[in-house]
Amino acid sequence: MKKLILTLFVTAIFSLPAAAKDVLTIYTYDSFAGDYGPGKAVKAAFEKICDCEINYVALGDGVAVLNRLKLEGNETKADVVLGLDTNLTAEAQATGLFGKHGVDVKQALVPGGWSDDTFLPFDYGYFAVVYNSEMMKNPPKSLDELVNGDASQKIVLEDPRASTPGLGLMLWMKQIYGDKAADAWKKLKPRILTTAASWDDAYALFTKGEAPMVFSYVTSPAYHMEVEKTDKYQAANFAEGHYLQIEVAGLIEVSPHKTLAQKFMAFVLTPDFQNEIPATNWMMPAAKTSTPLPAAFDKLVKPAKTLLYLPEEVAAHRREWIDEWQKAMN
Amino acid sequence: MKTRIPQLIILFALTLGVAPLLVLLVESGGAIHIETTIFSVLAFTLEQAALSTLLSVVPGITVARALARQNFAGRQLLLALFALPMAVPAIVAVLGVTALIGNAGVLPGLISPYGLAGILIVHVFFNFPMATRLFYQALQSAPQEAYKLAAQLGFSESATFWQVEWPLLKIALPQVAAIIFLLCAASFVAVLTLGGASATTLEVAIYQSLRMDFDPPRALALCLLQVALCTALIGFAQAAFAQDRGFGILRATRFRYAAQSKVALAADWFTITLGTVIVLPVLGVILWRGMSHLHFTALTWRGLGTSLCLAFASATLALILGRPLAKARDSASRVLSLSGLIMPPAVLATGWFLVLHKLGDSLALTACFIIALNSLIALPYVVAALRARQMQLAAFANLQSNLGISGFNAWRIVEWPLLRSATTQAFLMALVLSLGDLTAITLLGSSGILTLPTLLHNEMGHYRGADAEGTALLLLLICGGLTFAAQKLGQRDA
Repeated sequence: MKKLILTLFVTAIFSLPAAAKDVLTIYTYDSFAGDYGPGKAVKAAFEKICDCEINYVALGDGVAVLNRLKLEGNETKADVVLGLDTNLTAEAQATGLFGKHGVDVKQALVPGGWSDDTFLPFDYGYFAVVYNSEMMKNPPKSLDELVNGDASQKIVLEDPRASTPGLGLMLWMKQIYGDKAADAWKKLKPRILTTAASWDDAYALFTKGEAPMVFSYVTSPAYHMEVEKTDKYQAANFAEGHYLQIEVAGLIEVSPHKTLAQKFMAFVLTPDFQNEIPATNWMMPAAKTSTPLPAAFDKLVKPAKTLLYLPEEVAAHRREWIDEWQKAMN
Repeated sequence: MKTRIPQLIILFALTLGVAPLLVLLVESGGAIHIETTIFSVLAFTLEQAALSTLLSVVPGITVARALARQNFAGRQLLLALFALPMAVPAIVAVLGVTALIGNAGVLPGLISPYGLAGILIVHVFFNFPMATRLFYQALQSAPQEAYKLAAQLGFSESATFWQVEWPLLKIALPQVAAIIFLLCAASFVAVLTLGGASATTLEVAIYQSLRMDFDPPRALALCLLQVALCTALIGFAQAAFAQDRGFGILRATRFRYAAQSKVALAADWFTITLGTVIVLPVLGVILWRGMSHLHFTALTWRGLGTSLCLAFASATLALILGRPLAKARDSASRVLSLSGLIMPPAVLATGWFLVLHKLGDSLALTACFIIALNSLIALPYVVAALRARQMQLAAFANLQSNLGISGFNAWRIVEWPLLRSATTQAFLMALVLSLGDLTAITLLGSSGILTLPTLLHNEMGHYRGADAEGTALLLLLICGGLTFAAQKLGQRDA
């Protein structure tokens, strides 16, 4: 038995496709590269036009990807990095590893426009409080209503130290309340059922009915409408506007496959890439698609105002703001 | 025969993890900013870990003793079920507990799972059954004659406990308690998800400094604090429970001879029932929820195959390293055998990566990383499962040399019959633990390696919570099957 397993194991390792073609190594987060993410289709579409092979290195999330780059420095094996967001780009830029993408930024259709010549957006999404309409008839209409509302109607949040949406809410609160953010967190505290380690964990508690609200994305209800054919989960439209997350790609300057990497960067904003985003990553495409968006996307909340900090501001203050949040929550 | 190769290998692995960070620490001039809030973090870490240990060890001993005294038809099945929680990914256990006593649970309002109570319940769910199995195994390693003699001499129940059972339990206790304490001190998902933002443990602080702040020197400083604290506590526990020599036996316990009073009988059954109430409902929820979502796609098979390969490799390595460590009686070996739980895996993985990433990022290297990390984490369990029997074996050393049995014959006649059930138990624990592991692969990056827990994680991450419930059940069923097989294998008479 053990022998059989050992044999299987060894075969599994050595039966990897021999790399005859150029290999483009892309660092990304695992839910992009994973089998339910857009990674598979993106790989197939690009390999058709590049005479190359894509090799994904999948890490936990955008933060993990950036940390991997910092650990490796100039010896990184990445040619392209996919899945940082605008809260991380200032730090990513500071590593000095990224080169110019060389793509016309006018093709990028993200709220507020795009001008960065190092990073290129590949999708975006607004954060939102998603609620269960069967459990909650009067969802909050603003962040302020959430903060000051009925404490018996709970919300599941994510931890800003461990999760991207968690960080998103912290920045959103900071945008609205500024110096008074700590007080707002203290007021919100009785409404928080718990602060989960990740979006997955928080969302699972929410869909199990543990709380009527969860912190997630404006696009979350689209999944339930499209796949589960139910509209019981809805996003609350907040009067102050919604905090935005833009996910970006960048190329590594010292990559031996830089031409290929540039080709991939140009590919990111083409319909072949963008078509895959809505129904697999459940985010908004960052450029034109050639197929229409799933019907449920028409029914999603359209935020009245976009809230977003500059990457440099986040990089400069994140530590201090997280400390402030932590003190308020204790 | 006194080689110290396993100790050296482990020491090497630890050094490989710490040294690169130490270099960074020295380069940074040693200026580390550690806030005073670290004291409340430490206090909370110790509080919940100590409570979890107490709540797992004391019931573990009583239930193990009750199970050892009452021989009933479902005993093996119950013990097999007690092996399963180890394989349950933390978030699945958390969701299982909230399904029972959460707001939308079967018994809402009984005890709120959000807060310290919930953390303790999840920790007891994981650790009490593991402790029970290890204590049960220790009790069964008493010589048949000891119980016979106790019955013939008319020992009272308490006298039997103090004269026969307690010396056996004492061999297992320090290691079991240390494992549980360290596991709970390092618990992450359960602590954050149920404890909320105010529940910060040292492990969360270490993770934060490696992840958010990307400050490896600070992470190392916190890690050294954890290592110092844990080593001191383990040293203290070991001093408090000085080891006795084990009984030398050839036949393990099969029967109990003493007649039992009605009170003792009732007490045993009460304890056993209480024990099942802690473990079975959560497993039941996983079964109930997963049943209608059990699915077999190409991904499931791939995940299953990879999981089994990695787990078998990790468990084998853990067994190879663990056996000599279970024999060793010096305190350095004791601490080393627990190092996989003392050292935060995030720190080890970062250090290893810094040294070895230059070798390439091939699938094989990632697989080796995962196997190494998993076997280090499984090592404490292997040592705990083997120690009691290894002690008995030591008692045979003189007899063995008088009879001139050595080499293969010694192994065939003396060692294997005695070690058989403990070895299968050790291997099984390591196997089950590695099957359910998500830590190693998350830290090291998956690079196309899909295991059942990563599949579950992927499903949860893509709104497929129902599929994830099916995958969790599959994981449980596989582990159940392996446990059953191991029990059969371990019991067969040599």
